[in-house]
Amino acid sequence: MRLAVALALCAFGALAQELEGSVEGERRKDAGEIGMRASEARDLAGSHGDAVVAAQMLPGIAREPAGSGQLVVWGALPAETRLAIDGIDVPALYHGGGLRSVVPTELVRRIDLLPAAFGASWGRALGGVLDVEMAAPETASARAAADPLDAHAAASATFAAGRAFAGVRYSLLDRILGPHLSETAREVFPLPRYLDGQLVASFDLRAHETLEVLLFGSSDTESRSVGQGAFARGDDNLDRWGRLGLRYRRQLDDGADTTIVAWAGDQVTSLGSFADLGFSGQTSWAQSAGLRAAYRMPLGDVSDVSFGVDGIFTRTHLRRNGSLTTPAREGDVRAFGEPPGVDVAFDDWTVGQGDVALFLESNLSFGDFTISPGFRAVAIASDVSALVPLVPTTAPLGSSQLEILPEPRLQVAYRASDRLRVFAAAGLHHQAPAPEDLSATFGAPTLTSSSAVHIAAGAAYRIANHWTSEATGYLRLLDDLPTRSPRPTPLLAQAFVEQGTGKAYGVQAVLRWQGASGWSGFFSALVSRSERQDVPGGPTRLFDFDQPLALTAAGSWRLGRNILGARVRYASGFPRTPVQGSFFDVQQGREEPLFGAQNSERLPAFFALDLSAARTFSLGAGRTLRVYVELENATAHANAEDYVYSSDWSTRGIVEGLPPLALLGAEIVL
Amino acid sequence: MRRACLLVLAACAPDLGPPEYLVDRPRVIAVQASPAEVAPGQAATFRVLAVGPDGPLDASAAAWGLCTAPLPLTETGTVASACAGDLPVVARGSNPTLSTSPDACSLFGPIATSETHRARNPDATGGFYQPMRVQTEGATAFAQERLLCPLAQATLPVALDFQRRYTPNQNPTIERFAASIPLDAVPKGTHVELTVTVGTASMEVFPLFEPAPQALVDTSETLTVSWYATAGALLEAQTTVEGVSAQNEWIAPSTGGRTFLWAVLHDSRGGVDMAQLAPQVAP
Repeated sequence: MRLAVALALCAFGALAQELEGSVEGERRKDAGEIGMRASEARDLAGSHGDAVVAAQMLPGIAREPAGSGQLVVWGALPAETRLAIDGIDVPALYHGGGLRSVVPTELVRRIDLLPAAFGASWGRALGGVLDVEMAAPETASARAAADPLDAHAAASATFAAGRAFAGVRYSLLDRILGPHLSETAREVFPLPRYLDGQLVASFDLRAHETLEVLLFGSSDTESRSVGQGAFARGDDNLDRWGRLGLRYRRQLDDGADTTIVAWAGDQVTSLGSFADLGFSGQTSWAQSAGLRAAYRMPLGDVSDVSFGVDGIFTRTHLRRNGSLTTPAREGDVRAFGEPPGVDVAFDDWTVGQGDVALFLESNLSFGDFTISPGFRAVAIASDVSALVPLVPTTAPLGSSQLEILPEPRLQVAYRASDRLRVFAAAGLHHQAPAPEDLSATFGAPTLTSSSAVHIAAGAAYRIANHWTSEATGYLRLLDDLPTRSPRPTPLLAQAFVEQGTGKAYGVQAVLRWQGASGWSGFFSALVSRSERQDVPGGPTRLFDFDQPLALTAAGSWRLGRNILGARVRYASGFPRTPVQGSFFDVQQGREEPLFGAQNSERLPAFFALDLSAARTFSLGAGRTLRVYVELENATAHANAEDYVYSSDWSTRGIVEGLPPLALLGAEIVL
Repeated sequence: MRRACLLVLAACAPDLGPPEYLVDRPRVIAVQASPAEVAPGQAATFRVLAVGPDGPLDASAAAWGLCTAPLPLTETGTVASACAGDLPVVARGSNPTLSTSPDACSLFGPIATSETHRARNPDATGGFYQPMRVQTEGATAFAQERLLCPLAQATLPVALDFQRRYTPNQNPTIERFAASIPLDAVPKGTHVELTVTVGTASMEVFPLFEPAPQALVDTSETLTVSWYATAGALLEAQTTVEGVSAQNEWIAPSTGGRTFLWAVLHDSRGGVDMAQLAPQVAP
């Protein structure tokens, strides 16, 4: 049925498009796709000089809760957006808190966000795709940088057959600030401790043929604890992962090109929270490997066809204990500071997943029309070690299943004039369930893939040489989402049911200017609504990250060796569920909240003005010193990040976000 | 409003409302069930401690309800919201005798109603509880009666061993609730050391089932004291019992008159005892 709907929508769809702005070359662009060159991004206020951090302000991404580093793209959950570095799937692009990315800026070439309805070469995401393209620097240099967030050192070298880069970064924030924080402040925002490193070597083989070896990894730990003895509460989180990849690219004389990316990786994650002698924790060990191979060949002067394979294989071993409702999921009714549940469960399970897709897509130009049909044939095989909760003396009964999922895609564009293009795109997308949802005790091992229909349409208009604009409307229909079982007595091994549906729609408008007298920047507006329905026929509620209005204006002014930047942001507050009363739980010795209608009110709107300035000094012989200062929330606006309640839930206040934040840093390049 | 602000990274969290130990409105702060742990369908007698800003309240009109709705997976907390709404009154008074539901171990415990249904999960002490609602004038509270349910997901030898070794929980006892100075004329602002001394048998040892290794682990109860005051300030709202006693500090208020202090002793398996002091603050 969904396939039919998608095909019908494709048939009615109008046009695909190519976005203006920082588009480079003749690369195909997807509907709503927007990109940033690293050299532009690092100068934006609020980026801390980190190009990938600047991607958080791309149009289409909701303002994230302070200190979360989560990407909410066009009404999709952070876990529904695929993150990639050079086509290699990565679990995270940001360290804890979202203040710093896992990739140093000098290694980043550009960042592309595909918010929805993207081509057949990408999949495995109900939401969008954020891809970071890396490239080892072209020149030999040594670099050291430090600011209150962290210290970073890197070196690059060139040799006859190519070039290489090595870098490492280590956080300082927790050491600088930690000792000076009050207990309350530590409870609200844990300070992350992180480390990342990269090794990249690029070899030039023949003409237009390169082989790159990529090794990168990241480590994050986060710990907070308040209170003592039986009343201590807090969290201990750890996330370590690494990737080793090979990327081969060759461009042939006839215009064809081929790209092969093969990689393997490992991840260890441990999440734990404790309160009043209760403990909830989950540890997972994941080994994964992936392959992306694509071959593109031209069809005449203006058309092309490409095909390839995109596969990922993951084996995840998980161990979890604690409450079924901790940690909270999207859709859970909860309040800031609410202690974890007192129930205790345990499970130890293994999930193997293989997600392989063959894709075929083409760009066919007929005069001013470009039609880009695509098809992705997906096979998802999964194997779960236990179909029902473990019973002693009984051999565990596992579960295997195979899904074959067709994913048609279509984009159409029409060049109405030299200045105006209109476009539309539609597609069907699937995403396999997360291994942590496939527990026989905490989830449901028989969950299958969730699906989404993406539709986007809009227009791009070049106003003048340095001014471009685009507007894109979108609709995302989600189905088969895993939600908590609503039954008073849930069925065995079905704590989750795949009955959730969702709908997100909105309009995004972007105005860009670039190049005139050193000025560049953009203004973006996103008007949207995102809803979820947890059970068929049940009430429709707002998505936890629904943000009806998000406005961003950001710009920089390059004046010789100086760069000045500014950013202004306004965003609606996220939905919250009001507390309408309480009762005293005598055994726990605390008041418990009674909630009103789910997500029926909002946090106050967010506003922030950020300023930045940087100056580069020449030290002779090609050596430079760059000094930068950044002031976030310059107007000291008291932004509400959440509601916090008194112990009897009768009085409410707000948890305020960033106070004015000044960062002073320096970077020396030798 | 006092604020705690991070200098750079983070945020300001307000401290809201009066401290949780301050009795500034009618509250039910303790309910003791005797016996503290019963089999499904068995009765227990309840004793309620209702207090207000002027001291203990008369709870003879307290209305009691029996919650029969298990906590659904879609709710957090400890009691289903369905039980916070309309619930039939099954008894009235400050010392009623109530029976748990005959099917309490399937409603709230490890017995699945059929092979296709999932069993409930225990708390950290392996316990299952049926909530009892008590309403007095201006206050609603839930007590939780611990249920004597069979062990689930255990091998037969472990289950039999558990049955042999497990002793139903007994309420802990407060032997003495005392202050470091006489309480008949406490000067304003005086720091008073408070001590709760518990009975030597209060901290029981019980076998706790660990499902992964299929083992029974002898575990000592944790005893905690929740402290309440009608005026003045307490150093801690809750403290743990170390050895046989728990300490706290009370700072007498700046206005004279009769004040009340309560100590509610909890064991980690749901047992309760309570005691009261009534210092007179000098005018």
